[in-house]
Amino acid sequence: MGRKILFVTTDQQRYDSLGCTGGAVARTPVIDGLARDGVLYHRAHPQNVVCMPSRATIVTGQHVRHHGVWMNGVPLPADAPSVAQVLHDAGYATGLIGKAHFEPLLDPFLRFDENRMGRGGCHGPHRGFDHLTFATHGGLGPTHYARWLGHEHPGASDGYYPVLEVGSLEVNAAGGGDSGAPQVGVNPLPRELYHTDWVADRAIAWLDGLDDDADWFCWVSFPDPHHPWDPPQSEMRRVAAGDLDLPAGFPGSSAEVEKILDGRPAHWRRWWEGSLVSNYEAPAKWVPATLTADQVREVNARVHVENELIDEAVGRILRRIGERGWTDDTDVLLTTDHGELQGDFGLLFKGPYHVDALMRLPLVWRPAPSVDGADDAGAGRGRGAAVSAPVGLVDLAPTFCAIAGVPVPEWMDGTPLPRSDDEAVRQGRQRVLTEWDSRHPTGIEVHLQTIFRDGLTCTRYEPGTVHDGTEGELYDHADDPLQRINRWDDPAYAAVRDDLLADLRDHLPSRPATTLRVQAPV
Amino acid sequence: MEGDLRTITLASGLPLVATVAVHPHLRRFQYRLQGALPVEEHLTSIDVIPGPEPGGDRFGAGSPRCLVVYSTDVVPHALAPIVDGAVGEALGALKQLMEAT
Repeated sequence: MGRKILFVTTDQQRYDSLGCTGGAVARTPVIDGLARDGVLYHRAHPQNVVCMPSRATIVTGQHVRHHGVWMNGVPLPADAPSVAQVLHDAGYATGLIGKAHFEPLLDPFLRFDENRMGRGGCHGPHRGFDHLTFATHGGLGPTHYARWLGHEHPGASDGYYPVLEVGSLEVNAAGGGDSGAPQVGVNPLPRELYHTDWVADRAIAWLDGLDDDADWFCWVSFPDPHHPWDPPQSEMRRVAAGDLDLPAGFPGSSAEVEKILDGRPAHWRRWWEGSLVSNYEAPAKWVPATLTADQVREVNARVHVENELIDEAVGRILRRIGERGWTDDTDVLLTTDHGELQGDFGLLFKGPYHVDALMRLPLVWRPAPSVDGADDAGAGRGRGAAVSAPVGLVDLAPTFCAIAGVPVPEWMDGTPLPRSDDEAVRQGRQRVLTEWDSRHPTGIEVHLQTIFRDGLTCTRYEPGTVHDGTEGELYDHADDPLQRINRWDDPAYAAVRDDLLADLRDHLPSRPATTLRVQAPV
Repeated sequence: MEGDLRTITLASGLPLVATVAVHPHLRRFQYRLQGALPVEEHLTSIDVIPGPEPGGDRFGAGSPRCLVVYSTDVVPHALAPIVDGAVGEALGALKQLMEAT
């Protein structure tokens, strides 16, 4: 019998959202406990800051340029390598419950396997997973959750905020709640019918169906706290929006926003003032310059509630694992696919903005208590360890292989996560890379690549419809943790900038010979 | 088909209603979606252009090959990649079918 793996992901969750990472509002005792008993990573970055490319990296262990899913709407090829297949072949029972999103969600022709499975009530196998049960944001669409909600509770899906606008199919800009913030809705759905608890229930049901001596890999993928921000209204008593402090990253005034954004490549300011829509992931009809302090507070209150519900759901799954007698043999890893601007720089949602709000992610690994959690040199036991070296989501799949005791396949780009900074040094970890490419249906193209190394974030831009390829960003986290001062053109930083750019060029894989086709907006 | 109205039920269960126009002399088939999908504007044209004659580089009616041009205009923009993906798949299937017969 080997080690079992519980892998928990959320969607669009900021680093600073948990108690163990400095969050002071949402109560997340379960995840904090995992960090206390395991390893907390302070510099985990995604390789892309939107769902599909990032999730493709998680399941393949590859950089975007290797798996080819370069933007949302590009399906991961059906024959793409999968860590689930590696684990399945090693004798593991493999399950994915929740949001997959390796294939487009917007699929009226039902061309993609995930959507056919969800609509038809089929549960796999697919991509190496023996069992898949899908849910996503809201109660509509071709998912098992929507199918269940529609059958068991007709009309209940109406309680959710409609993510897309009827007619245009754009991300909905309609305001709701007390503040009129976009993608905020008052959801009368009882908590037990909400997708967070439903995903936890289905994960527990799948685990209950396994033999006591099974080795298993269970990916529990919560759709929250991604917008829409519409948790069950009954739970909103937990956090009073009006009592919240504004986040440190929220500039507070239009003049301050303008001052910050004017020092950056043009798409920042142009999106904020409403003269540019570069990507599909934020509401096209929403102008960030209209964002008010009360709206930020209301969005944040709802996110905090969603994060508490996730923490409690993880707690229920862990309790069931304990009841099965599996705790000592179970590794638990928890992270998210990318972050959320959530008021930073006067912005919401996500896009081609490579800053901590979107790139710095929560990542916790609680090694199985029965094994020696010490690092590769035998130091420590992984309990309460903190790793500040840069790591990436690209390292997760190799980590799962290492836990399962199977060789890391050559096609994986990552390296098993270190359990200490000393181990990170021995692994030669210095940098983590993130890239963005997008082509909006209106023809707007944006291309950027980023390296984080030595406490510096450096981003270069390639020519597109907004940039001429000379632009860049450079932030020194040591004296500018909010990344407000762009030092790209600062002569004092010229040498370090050039060194970082050379490092980025040396380590980013080449672009693939063929570009996969975009087949949906998301 | 009912007159020039064609109804197809998609795998998703969505009924797709389109008006159809065939222009044999142009080897052109056109359809315009009427509903089901949230379409503001739509027109698809499929043109079959005879390919080069064997041994020559001129296009002619006697050629065993042809070029199929499948073009679509659609609003809202968000539907463009969805239609593009479906059309690409349809063209691939059409090519396979033609080459097998």
